[in-house]
Amino acid sequence: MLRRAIEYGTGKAVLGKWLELYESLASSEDAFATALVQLDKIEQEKRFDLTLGFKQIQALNLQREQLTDLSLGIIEVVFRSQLKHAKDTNRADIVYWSRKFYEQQSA
Amino acid sequence: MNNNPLEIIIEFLNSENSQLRRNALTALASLHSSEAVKYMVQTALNDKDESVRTRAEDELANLDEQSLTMLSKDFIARLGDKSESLPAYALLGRLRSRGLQLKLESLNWLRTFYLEFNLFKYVYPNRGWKFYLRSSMPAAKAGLVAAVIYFIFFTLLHYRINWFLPQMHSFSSLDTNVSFTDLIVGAPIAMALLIPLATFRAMALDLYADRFKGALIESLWAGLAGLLLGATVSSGFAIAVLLTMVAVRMGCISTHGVEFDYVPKHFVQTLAGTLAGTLVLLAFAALNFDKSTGVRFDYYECTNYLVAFIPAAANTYATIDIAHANALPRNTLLPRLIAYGLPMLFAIIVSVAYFPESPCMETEETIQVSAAFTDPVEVNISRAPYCLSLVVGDEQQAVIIIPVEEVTHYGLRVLKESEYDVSTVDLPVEVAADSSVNSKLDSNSKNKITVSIPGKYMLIFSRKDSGLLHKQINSKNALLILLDHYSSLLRHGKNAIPPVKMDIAFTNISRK
Repeated sequence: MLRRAIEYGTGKAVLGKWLELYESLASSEDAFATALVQLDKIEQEKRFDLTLGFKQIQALNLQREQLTDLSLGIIEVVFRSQLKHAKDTNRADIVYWSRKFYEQQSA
Repeated sequence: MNNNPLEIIIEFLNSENSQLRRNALTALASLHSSEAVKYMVQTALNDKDESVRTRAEDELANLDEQSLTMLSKDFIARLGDKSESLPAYALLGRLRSRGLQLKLESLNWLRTFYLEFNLFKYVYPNRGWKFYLRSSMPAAKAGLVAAVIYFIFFTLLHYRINWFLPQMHSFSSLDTNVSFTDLIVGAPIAMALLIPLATFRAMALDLYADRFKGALIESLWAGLAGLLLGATVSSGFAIAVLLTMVAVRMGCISTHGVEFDYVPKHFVQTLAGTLAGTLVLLAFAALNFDKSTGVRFDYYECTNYLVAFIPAAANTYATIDIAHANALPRNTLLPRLIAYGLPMLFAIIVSVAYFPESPCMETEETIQVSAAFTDPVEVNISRAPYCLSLVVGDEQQAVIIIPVEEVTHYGLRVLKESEYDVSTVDLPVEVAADSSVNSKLDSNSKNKITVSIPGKYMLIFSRKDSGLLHKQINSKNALLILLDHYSSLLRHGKNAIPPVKMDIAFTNISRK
C-alpha cells in the first residue's frame, strides 16, 4: 500500500499513515519467521498459487542458505513471489530461484 | 500446482507491468530450453517497451553455451522467414555489438549482403531530427579543431617559406591574409550542416552482424556521399571526394577497437580516418596535378573546407561507431598496427617533404642592367631556390625571360629591395604591392617579366611547388602549395629532380 501511495501521489497525510504502518512492521528476523509460517501454511493447504509479500521474500533471500528440503510446490511459490516482487537490482535472486525451481522440477 | 516453469514465466511475460516482463526474461534465460530462447527473441523483437527489449537483449547476450546453440537455430529459422529476417538480423547485429558471437553457417554470401544492406531502418527505427543531426556536434568539434590545426600548419608553412628566403626578404615581405576568423567560425558551422548530410546513412560498425560485409557497405555509403557532395563542384572533384570519403571510413573502421589512455575513446579512429583521407587526397592530387597530362581539377574554392571536412567526417564516423561498442574485444593487433602505422607514415611523408630542403642559394653577384649586358646568365636551380640581385639604373629596363621549356616547373619572383613584390612569372598576379611601381607582366607571354623602375631587385628562381613564388600565403593556396609539393615529390621522388641550369636572358636592356 505504501508503494501504491507513492505511485499514485496520494498526498502527505495518506503517505505518512502508510509510512508509519510500514515502519511498525516486523523486522527482517520477524519477516523471515513470518515467511516460514506462511510457507508452512501454504504447504499444508496446498495453495501453491499464492505468493509471499515483498518483505517476506526479501527476508527469505537474506537467509536462503538456511532453507533446505523445500518441496517443489514451495519453491514454485517462492519463485512466483520472486518474479512478482523483484526489481532490476534483484536479478541475481531471480536467477537463484529460477535455477532452484528447474533443478527441483527436473530432479 | 503448476510444475511447468515456462508456463509460470509466460504468465509474467504477458503481464502489462514491464518490470514483471523484465523479471520473466531473466527467468527465461536460466531455463535452457529452445522454447524459452524463442520467447526471449520474440520479446527482444516485438515488446512495446524499450526497457523490456533491452533486458531481453541483455539476457540473450549473456546466454551460456548450451542455450547459444538453441539461439542459433532460432535465428536460422527466423532469417529464413522473409517477414522476420530483417528485424532478426538487426537484432543479431545488436547482440554482436554486446559481445555475442553466433555462427550462422547456413547463410550464403549474397543473402548476408542483402540483409546487411537493408539493416538501417531496423537498426534505427525512430529517425527524427535528433537522429539526422546526430553528426552535427562531432562534426562541429572536429571542424573547429581542424581549423586551429590548419592555422598552425599555415603558420609553419609561412615560416618555412620565409626560412628559405634570403634574410633581408624574410617574413615582412610575405603578406599573409589567412582568414582566421572565417576558418574558426565558418568551419564548425559549415561542418555541422554539411556532415549530417554526408553521414546520415552511416551505421555503427558493430551493429552489422558480419563485420567484413558491414565495412564494405559502410565504405559504399561513404563513397556515395562523397560522390554526391563532390559532384556539386565538378566531376573530377567528385571522384576525389569519393575516394577520400571511402578512405576516411576505412581508416575509422580499420582502427575500431583501439583505445589509448588520456584521449577520448574514438580518438584513434578519428585520427586514422583523417590521415587515411588526407593521404588519399594527397595521392589523388599528386596524380592529377601532373601538368604533363593537362588535367588539373578545380580544388581551389573547396580547399578551405576540405581541411575541416575530412576530420569532421572521421570524427563523426568514429563517434557513431563507438556508441555501440561496449562489449567487443579490444586492442587487436592489426588495428593497433594501423593506429600506429598511419601517423608514422604521415609523419614520414611530411618529414621527407620538409627537412632536406635547403635555403635559398644567394649569389654574391649582382647584375647591373646596362646596354652592354647581353649575355644570358646561368641559373642553377636544384631543390633549393636560387637568388640573384638585379640593379636597374635610371632610364633602363630589364626584360627577364625564362626558357619556355622550363616554365612548367620553374618560376621567378621579383622583389624590389626588401619591401614588396613586383611580379612573378606564370603565377596569378595578386594585388600589386605598390601601384607606383611601373612594372608589368606581359600578358602574351608567361615566361617574361619587364622591370623598368630604377632600383635594386631580388630575383628568386624556384620550383613552383616550393611555395616560394607565391606572394601571398593564404588559407586557400597554403594547402595547394603543399599538395603541389607532394605531387612533385610523389612523381619524381626526393632526389629524382635533376638540378636545372637555365640560361636566363636579360634581353632588351636598353635606354627607354
